[in-house]
Amino acid sequence: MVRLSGRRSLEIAASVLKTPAPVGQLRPGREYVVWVVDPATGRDVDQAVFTIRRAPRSYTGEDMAEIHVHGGRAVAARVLGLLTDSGARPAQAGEFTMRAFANGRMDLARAEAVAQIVAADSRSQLECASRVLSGEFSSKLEQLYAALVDLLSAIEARIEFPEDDVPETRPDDLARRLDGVRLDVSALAATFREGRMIAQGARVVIAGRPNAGKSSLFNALSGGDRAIVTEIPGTTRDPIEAVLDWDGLPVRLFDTAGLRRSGDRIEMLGLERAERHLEDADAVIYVIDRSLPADPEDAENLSRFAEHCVVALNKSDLPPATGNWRLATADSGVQPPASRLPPPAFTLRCSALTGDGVPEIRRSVMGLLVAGPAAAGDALVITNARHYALLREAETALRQTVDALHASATEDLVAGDVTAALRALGQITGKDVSADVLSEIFSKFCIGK
Amino acid sequence: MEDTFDIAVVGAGHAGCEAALAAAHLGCSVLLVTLDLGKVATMSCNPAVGGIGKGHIVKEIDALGGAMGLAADHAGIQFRLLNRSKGPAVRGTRCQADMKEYSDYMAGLLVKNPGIALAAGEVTNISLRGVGFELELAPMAGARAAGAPAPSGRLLARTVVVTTGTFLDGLMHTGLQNRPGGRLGDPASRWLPAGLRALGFELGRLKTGTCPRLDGSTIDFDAMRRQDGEDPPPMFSFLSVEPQLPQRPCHLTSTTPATHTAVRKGLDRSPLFCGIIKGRGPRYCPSIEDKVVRFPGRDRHVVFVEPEGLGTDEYYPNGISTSLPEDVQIEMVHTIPGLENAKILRFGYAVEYDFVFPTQLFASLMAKIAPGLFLAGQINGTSGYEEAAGQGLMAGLNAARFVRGEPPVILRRDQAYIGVMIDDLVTAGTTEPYRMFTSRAEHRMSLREDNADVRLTPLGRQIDLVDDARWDAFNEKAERVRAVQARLRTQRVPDGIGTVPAYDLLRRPGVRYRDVCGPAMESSGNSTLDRAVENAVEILVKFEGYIERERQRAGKIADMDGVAIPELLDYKSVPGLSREVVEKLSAIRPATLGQAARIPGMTPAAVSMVAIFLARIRSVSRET
Repeated sequence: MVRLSGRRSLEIAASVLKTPAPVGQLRPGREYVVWVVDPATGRDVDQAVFTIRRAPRSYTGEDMAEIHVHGGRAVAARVLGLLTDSGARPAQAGEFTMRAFANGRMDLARAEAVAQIVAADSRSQLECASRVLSGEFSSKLEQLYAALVDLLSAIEARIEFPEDDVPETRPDDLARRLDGVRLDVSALAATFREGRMIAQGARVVIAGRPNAGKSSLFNALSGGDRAIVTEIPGTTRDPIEAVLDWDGLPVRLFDTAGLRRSGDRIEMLGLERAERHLEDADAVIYVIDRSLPADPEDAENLSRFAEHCVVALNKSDLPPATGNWRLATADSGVQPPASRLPPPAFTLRCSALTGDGVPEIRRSVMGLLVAGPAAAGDALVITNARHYALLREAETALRQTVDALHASATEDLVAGDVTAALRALGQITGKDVSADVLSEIFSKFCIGK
Repeated sequence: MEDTFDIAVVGAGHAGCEAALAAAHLGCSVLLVTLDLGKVATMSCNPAVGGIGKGHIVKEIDALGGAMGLAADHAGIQFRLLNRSKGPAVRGTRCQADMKEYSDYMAGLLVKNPGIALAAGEVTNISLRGVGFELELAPMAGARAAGAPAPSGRLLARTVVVTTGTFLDGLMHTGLQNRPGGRLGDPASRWLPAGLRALGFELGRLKTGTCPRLDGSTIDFDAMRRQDGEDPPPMFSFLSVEPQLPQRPCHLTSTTPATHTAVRKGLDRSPLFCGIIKGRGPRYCPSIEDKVVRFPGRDRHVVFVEPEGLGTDEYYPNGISTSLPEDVQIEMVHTIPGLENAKILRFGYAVEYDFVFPTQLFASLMAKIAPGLFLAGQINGTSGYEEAAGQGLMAGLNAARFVRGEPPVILRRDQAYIGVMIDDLVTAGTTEPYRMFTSRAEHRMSLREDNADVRLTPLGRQIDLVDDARWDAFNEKAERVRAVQARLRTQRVPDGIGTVPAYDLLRRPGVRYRDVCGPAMESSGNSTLDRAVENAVEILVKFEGYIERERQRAGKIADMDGVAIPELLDYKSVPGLSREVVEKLSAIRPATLGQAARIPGMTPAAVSMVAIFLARIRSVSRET
């Protein structure tokens, strides 16, 4: 299908079509069988189905023409060529949506959601984006925005109309209600942890001491032969990345250089990079070679990211070393207290070589990544970094408001903080805070001498 | 013989007076034409100046060398500082004024000014002529005649400032009766609207209303609560020391259920509810019938009985603005405690009038379609003496600069409420009479009354509006503030445990300047100045952090306001903009990216497209 949007779209479409009646007389939304003709030669190009939409009742809010040609790239390209010769230009990525938004057919949050659907390459990305598109995010925001407008209008009414009978909201009551909104904003912002994973991929980093079998496990998990596997410790100097789709969740799996104290300068660089990846990791798979005796370095490394870590006791195909560090026995039931995972999921025996235990490791990692309700697909999740930043801005301003109220700050300061929160929320959907607050004052309070 | 004035000001209300004075101060020859020279700077509505947001504007006018602050201080018979406890940003000075004294004071300034020629009459048409404008002038009698008035005079002016208030095709309503008029007792300006349309302006219709006026000798003040002004009285002008007139109280009473019954009984003859009034009224200043209908649950509404002056027994019962029929007004007033026997001297009425959609103006207040023609005050859709005066000052200033071939002065949103107001008007327009509210300012913590001089007097000096006396007074205060701040940082004071820098102690909540510095600070001998210095220092120290926080939050907006858009930018050439957005931008012609972003219906995406386009032209022009 070829779509045209804009003031001249019908005129341009008409110039390459033979229609049963002049285009200006066609009924919007009706399908007409037409012929596409080359205006230069007058020759028929293809038979097509043609529909027009009139501004503002169209997706973009402008006049639109839709030409359904017979399949095949050649025909579509030919029709596009004819149209551009007649004055049309190819749309930029997401431009139709941008126009819909610019013409007020869609709020900003929804328009951005469409842009994400266009770019979505995994099922969960698609699900999240479509939830925003359905307006669920906007209506949640609307709710929080309205709650703040309600609170702020009560403060502002007393400021702007000091001689009218505007009831005072008690500061502790106000603080309590603002804190309620803050918690909601904060919860919404917190979904960005998952939302970011969905939008940009969850970052899963494989770490461990050299030659523990990290690269083999990386290959086993990514199902390919991406990482180079040798017997020489320190082979993997740069983190290697694979982008995977795990049950609809995009996962970026990183193999890293072995963690060890080394004199090699090149290896040091690899280590630094590994450290950076570990800092940003959503989950860590820490690989230990259970056929070797315990090393205190493992315990030391593990303590740093135990909270979001799965321990892979690798080389289950070899006999275990006796006297290994006791963490290395999954049966012992001992685990660092900070782990989010229950004991059986935290330390897992596996063999990267035979594939034994690898699916279990993947399942445990997924448990770490999608512990929240988003996993079930029924929660609203923020996937847009701009929305996240604005929600955090609102959250900060609300926290400052509550602090200011507790410190008995004057009303102008309190109102200033709430206004900052409202402006941040209003920016997500594009609102005029000052006008909305004044309207609320006039509708709610009997003011004015 | 035809004289050509530099500037002709049409109307001598609050906007017209400031415009004429500012322009004359800049050396322009000014003609001020008004219907009745006895009614200069009349307070057509309530006898008060200032209030929240409005007091801010008065102080800004004063800081720029305007007249309103001095006039209000001269004519004030009760001064109060509202919102004292609600924080420094929202404190607003207000005074009850002797209406006649106010008018006389302003008339005196005009008459004494050799640069201003005064003329009585009605301007019936303004047309382009040569490099300026021709004004057709009719004497009053002619304007009243039924037919088109024969022009009795023609005047030429390089520039014109139109400040017609509620007079443009004014229609006054009391009950189902209505008659043309700009204000009770004054005729409407019936011919000028056609002239403005002929110039190409699009006009709309607004409505406002006022209260019945009462005879004080028939009011029982003992039945009401007395409200006195504050002592010491807060002044408007940075030059004033104390009030000039004896001070008077106001009195508070309230409506009763019987009042509301009377109002409801009269609704079938209310022009507001019968659909006769088409113009939109101010939501913040509802008539009593509006309040009764919209808030049926309330059994009382406060009424402030305000004196109109020392030499008159007329009182203004603020809170019962109405356009109900006369018999209903009488019945209603008599149900109010203290007003049982009150005699109505003049009945309340609503007035509908034409205004010019202010989006047809540049931020200089000059019309986009007629260079040299400026509009100020209610004609731009505002309400309030202060809003009018603020615009009048800017229009007079910019008209004078236009004559002198200088670029206009535009106050920024982070600089003055006047800047916020004018930006709101020319960017978003208005659908109801526009009044200033402090919540309209995103830089509210910085735009305070106390620092209006710091914000604007140096600018006023630079553009020749501020005279030596004001400049000296400004510098004296500024130096004292600096000296006290420096001393606060060095001087150590006991805090109960040990000693701390006085500055740190003052930052603590609840600690006041007096507690820290006591009488140790040297007095200037002028207690008003001493208080102003104390106040300024206290706010600077205590609110430093909050002011900085606001500055950072509003920073993005302020940054966008720093990105200039070429005046002749063809928005059709900006890729990706919809036709509607192109139309909006082409109509408003925003001066900055920030202003573009504030146009209603502008989306962040559209703003980004303009920003990207501007960045591209800049980089292209750098390359070539």
